[in-house]
Amino acid sequence: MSRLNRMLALVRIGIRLARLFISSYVSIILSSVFWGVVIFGSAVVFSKAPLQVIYLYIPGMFVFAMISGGMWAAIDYFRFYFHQGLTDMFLECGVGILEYSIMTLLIDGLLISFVTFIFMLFVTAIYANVPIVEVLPRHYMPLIASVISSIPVFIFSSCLIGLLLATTPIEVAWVNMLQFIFLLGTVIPPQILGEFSLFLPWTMPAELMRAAYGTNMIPLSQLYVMDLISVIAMTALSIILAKICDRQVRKKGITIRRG
Amino acid sequence: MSIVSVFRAIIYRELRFLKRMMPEYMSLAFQSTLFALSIIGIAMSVSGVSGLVAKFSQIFNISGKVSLTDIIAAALAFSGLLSLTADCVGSVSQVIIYEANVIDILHLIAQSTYLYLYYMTYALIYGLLSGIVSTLYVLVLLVVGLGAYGAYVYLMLLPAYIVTGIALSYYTLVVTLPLTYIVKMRRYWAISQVLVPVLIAGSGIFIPVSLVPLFLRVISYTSPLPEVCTILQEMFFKAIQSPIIFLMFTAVFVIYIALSTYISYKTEKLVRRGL
Amino acid sequence: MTTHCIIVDNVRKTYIVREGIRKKRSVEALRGVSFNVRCGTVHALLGPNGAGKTTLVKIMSTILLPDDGRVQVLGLDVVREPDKVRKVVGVVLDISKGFYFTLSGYENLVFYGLLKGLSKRDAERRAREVLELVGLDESSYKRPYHTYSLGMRARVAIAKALVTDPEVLILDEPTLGLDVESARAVRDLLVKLARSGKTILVTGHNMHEIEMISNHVTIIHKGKVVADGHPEELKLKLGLPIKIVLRLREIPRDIEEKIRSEIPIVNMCREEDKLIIYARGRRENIVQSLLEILRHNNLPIIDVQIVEPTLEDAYIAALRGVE
Repeated sequence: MSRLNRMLALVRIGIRLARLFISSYVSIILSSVFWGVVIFGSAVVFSKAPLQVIYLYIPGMFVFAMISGGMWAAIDYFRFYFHQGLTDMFLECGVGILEYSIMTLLIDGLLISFVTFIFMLFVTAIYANVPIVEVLPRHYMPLIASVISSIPVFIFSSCLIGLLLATTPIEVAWVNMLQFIFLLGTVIPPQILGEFSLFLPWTMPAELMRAAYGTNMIPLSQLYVMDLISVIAMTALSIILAKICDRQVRKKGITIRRG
Repeated sequence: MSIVSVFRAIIYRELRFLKRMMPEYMSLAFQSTLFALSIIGIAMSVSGVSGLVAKFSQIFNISGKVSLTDIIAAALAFSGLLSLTADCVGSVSQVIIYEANVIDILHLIAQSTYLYLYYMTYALIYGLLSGIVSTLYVLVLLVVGLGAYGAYVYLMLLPAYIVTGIALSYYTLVVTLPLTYIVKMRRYWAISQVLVPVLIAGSGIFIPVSLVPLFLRVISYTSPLPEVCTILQEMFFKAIQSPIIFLMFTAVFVIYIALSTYISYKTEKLVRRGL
Repeated sequence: MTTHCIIVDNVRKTYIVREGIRKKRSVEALRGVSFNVRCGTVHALLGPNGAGKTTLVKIMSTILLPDDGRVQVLGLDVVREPDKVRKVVGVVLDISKGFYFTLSGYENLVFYGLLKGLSKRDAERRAREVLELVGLDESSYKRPYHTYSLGMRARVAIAKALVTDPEVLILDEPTLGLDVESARAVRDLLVKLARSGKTILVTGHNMHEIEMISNHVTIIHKGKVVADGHPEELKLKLGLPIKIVLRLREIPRDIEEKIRSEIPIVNMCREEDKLIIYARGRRENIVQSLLEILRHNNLPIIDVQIVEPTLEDAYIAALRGVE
């Protein structure tokens, strides 16, 4: 019970903190939407079946945005805040990377990713010259399941990238490149990638989102089971990664580039 | 101090930065290539190769035969503009805000030279360097794909990249200086974060600007990018058919230089008066 | 030939502070400041936070324009001849920042040297020389600036001011936040530079430090000069008392009366076998009179301790005098 209370308290703090950065959130959303539009807008124009492009590729953007949000939470925690001396303050209060990712989950994760996803759909619809209602999800159960199961994805990416940033002097630019690995299985669907992508745990929530449009490769009943397994696996992995990360930070401090 | 001193100092600094910025340039090259290939890949996955080629020829109104290799080469060449815009607008705006409102290096510059001289020279040098450095990957990819002909294509495109880099740098000065010194913006990444994708999306880059929704086009028309995109697209697919576009670009270029000179000069006065 | 390297004459400066988008407020930073700095001396400019010291330093180094008044450095007007002034002045403004974080101290200095008009070879040579002069070893000055300690940053800041070998150095709080050893190194360096003929204007809050190195002090408060002179002269001008502690074998009842009749006493009290006297005037006159009184009354002295007022006392007295 006390753990749940602590988590709820962290989420509340995250929401309060987020109020200070409203302009930053607006710029993140605009930036993500327009970068997405550069790809999908052009792809829609060059394609003979624009709606097929939207239904097959854009749903994965929601989960990819969640992964990207988790990655930026880790970059904030271990790089930007470190230079401002805020990471020490968080550590002093017992807020490690796992707790920080829970803190930022609601706004930096769910809200930003969902709003970005919806806006991207709308703008791409203009390129495709179709009414906006045509690009809205049709099945709501898989949509809700996808949103819920993308929460562990956010935390997992935050802990994974956090461990990398805490223990190596890697620069943000390289991490930025690394995030494109997560395109596999999310934006690039199993139909294109083949069955290997089913082993990537973040494929399941993206596939659920595609199921909301009816473009899923795996049958829905199987998908729910596989999604549950991937949620459990990612939660367990996140906890392990966060523990290793915290221990390393306490033992050796945060590694940054000094030369 | 003379313009030569400022020129030399900025060249020295930028070359030093370049060494440390290599991961950023690699990341930019990787992302721009990924964008170009993704667009083609996505369209091809839905329409097939023949469908893509047909749609491509129809959109750019190409009468001759077009191959997939031509389309990929064109997309890579256009991606150079994406990389260039991200680098020029991003770096120039970030450096100006960062220098003035974050690390306080402005004092070092203001006690050594005139600020308007510094800003105008910086934009010129950065645009020039960025035109080469941020598009160098296009040369590599074109040579890999097309052999020696790829190098020839790149050399044809290079002057356009360089002039665009300079025009974009001056454009960024016009946008960023008032935001830095009047609005006193401290989040040095904010301008580039929004402006770069909006300009790129609004200019089309990979598609004719006429196919871009109007609300995006309006914003990008404040920059020289739509003109450059049209010039590059025409250069790539056919001989330039509308020289008027060159004239428009030259006019835009002159306007940016005049405007940025005026704004830099005003900035100097503002800073020296301590406002 | 003028003996004053810096002349500040009735300088005024008002800032317009924006409060929100439309609302503006004006702040008078300098309200007619005048003083001169003699060549080859260390001149201290003191004052509480917000007194206008940094504004004045920025005006002297051509960063800011005054609203009114005149500032000359080596006979050059900072408003009309900024380029020439920039060549003869070296400035330290904030020792903790003001450089590119990702470049090394050496690279930052070469950039500055080039900006100031040196050739690349000269800029590189001078950067090495000044870094050596301020005591930074080669292995450390090639690291990025963001990895430097505050002491190292202070040394780089002073090195920057010396790159062009200027005749006048203007240093705004060059020892702020430094550890004892680094602060001492900076102080020693300033004294060495002054001895080599450079004119130094320094601001700061550490009175003990300022007293050790400066030949002349100007105190400003709320944009006005409230005291100006040699530290000793200042103490005298402000009428600060000297504290004398006498330890006597016995203290007769009437001795206090006799001392009061001869010396301008501010306060006097007894503490066991000690007589504590606060007196105004020249130290030698007071001591002379006191000894004569004691000899005349046949009172042998066991011990005597004379505590002079410090610059800090003078500073506080000057500020209290204004308020």
